[in-house]
Amino acid sequence: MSLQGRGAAWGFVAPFIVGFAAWCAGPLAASLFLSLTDASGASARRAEYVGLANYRAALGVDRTARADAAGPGPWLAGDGRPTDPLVYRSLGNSLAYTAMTVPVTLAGSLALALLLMQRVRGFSIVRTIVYLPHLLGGVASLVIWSWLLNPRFGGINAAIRAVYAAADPLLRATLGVTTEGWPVPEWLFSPTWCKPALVLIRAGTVGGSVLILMAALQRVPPELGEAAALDGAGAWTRLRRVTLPQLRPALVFVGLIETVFAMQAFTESYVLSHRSQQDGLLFAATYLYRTAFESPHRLGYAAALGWILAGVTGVMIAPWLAWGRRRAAFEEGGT
Amino acid sequence: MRLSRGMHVTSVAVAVGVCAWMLLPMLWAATSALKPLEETYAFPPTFRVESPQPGNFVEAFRRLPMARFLLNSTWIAGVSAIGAVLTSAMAGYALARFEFRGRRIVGACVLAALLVPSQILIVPRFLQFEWLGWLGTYKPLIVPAWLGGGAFNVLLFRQFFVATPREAEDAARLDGAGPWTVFLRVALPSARPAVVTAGFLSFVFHWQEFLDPLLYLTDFKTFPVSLGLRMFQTLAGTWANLLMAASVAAMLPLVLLFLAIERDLMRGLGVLTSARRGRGTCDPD
Repeated sequence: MSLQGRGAAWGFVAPFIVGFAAWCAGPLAASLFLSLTDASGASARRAEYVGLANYRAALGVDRTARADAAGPGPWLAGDGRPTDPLVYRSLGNSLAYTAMTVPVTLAGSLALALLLMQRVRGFSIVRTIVYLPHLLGGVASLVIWSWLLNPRFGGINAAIRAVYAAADPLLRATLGVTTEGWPVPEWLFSPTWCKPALVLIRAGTVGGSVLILMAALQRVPPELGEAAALDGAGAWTRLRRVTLPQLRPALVFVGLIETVFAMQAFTESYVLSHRSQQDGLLFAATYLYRTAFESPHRLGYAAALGWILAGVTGVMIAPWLAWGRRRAAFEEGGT
Repeated sequence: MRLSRGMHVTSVAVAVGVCAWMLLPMLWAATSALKPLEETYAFPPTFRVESPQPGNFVEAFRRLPMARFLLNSTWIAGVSAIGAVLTSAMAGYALARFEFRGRRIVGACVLAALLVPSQILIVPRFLQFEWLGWLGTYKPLIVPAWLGGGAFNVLLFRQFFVATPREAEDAARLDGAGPWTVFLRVALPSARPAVVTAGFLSFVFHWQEFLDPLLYLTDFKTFPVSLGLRMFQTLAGTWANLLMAASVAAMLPLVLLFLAIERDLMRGLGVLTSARRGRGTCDPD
């Protein structure tokens, strides 16, 4: 490449480099510094260095105080309560939501990808229908879902009630029980059901992951399955022993992305939060937002919360990374 | 693999069920939007619409400036998407085609930008935009898109160009075209699937963006439809039929756009998802 070309290369990457420096590397360093200061709303410029005080305030436990009913949660045994219980509450919510939603979306998108790989006429339209909600997963769809999940006037509970009614005669005849008066979930109006409600909503937007897994499935050499079939392996064995190992990098990728998204979830929490959930949808990102952008605008503290959330997210994705690496090591080790 | 008859029937049945689930919110919204208010609060609820009220849509647009919100979103998402495609294509092209000192560092920056958790950046970015005097304008939403256009898009274009033969570009260069001419006249037009895919995904991303407008916009007349809808929900959420009409209006442009370019998009996504693990990740060709 000529000298002119070399200069041109830098011209081509210049916008990206400027953007990276201004909106990624720069803020990253600034955030680290901010988290060590007491910067707050009006006086962000006159912030003072406070060392690790923000981290201590966020994660610390006050041993002199008694644990109260709304206290720290089961993972903090013994006396004392956190100096900021909402940190643990919001992180716990995010972790619980992640633990619920990732297995569902991962299993769901894998099942859908395997289904849609079958050569059946009309499945290309199904693929479109599955992908579309993935694109529409914004505020509009959240608003629609909140109405669909309305305990009294929504379609979901109407369907549940219909199932109850249909099962009633059968259950009466066989077991002598009636479904009359069986409870229906309160969904977004309940502390216990609000997270499952969110999982339900997320399950409708797996289309992106389905597409990634389908692309990976297309790369699995068909000879492998055929050879296994000749050896007498059934469909289930072929799936477990041939397809899934080949699919592992894609599964790791999807699992990683789903985990990070769930840990960072904000919009769904902000739009769908309701008093009757008793902070059940107060996620870590939402608490960060509240801390920074609602009075008294504790910016330094919020920056520290960001790093804590990033650290927890890092711990959550470590298993995925380890799982992905194990395969690479295995491949290099010999075949 | 050929399917047995039973498997075939089961597959179709499951697929129909899945489609019903995927389409449920849109159908529910569409029917609710056409109901008179007392029908939306009928018990038990149904999909049936006794007396359709298309006037609900007009009413929804009258209560809040929904048309304005839609226009704002179109502008923000459109301008951002153009910038994102242009600058990420430039970076991806350079990474795929040029040998230059520091290329590995630039590649590392792309990966780093993908990995940095966004919540760490929220507070410093806000202070930065405040310092720049950009609060209350569209600049915080648009300018970053014009500078880099997202690491994911850069990677996408890099993969696309790595997988594309360069003969046409070499021929143009031999004819005396400079690197910029080659890029704009030869490389970019040949990257149509990548351009359509990256452009569309950026458009959707910026259309759906909620936190950034929430942080940086102050005047409700400048709100994109995501914020506008949230406002609708808090101010007039009990008018369920109008709220559903507004939600349908907020999604319809994306649905139409998607259906218009679906063929190109699916091909682009296919090429790109399979190119993701194509030839080496960060190594020179």
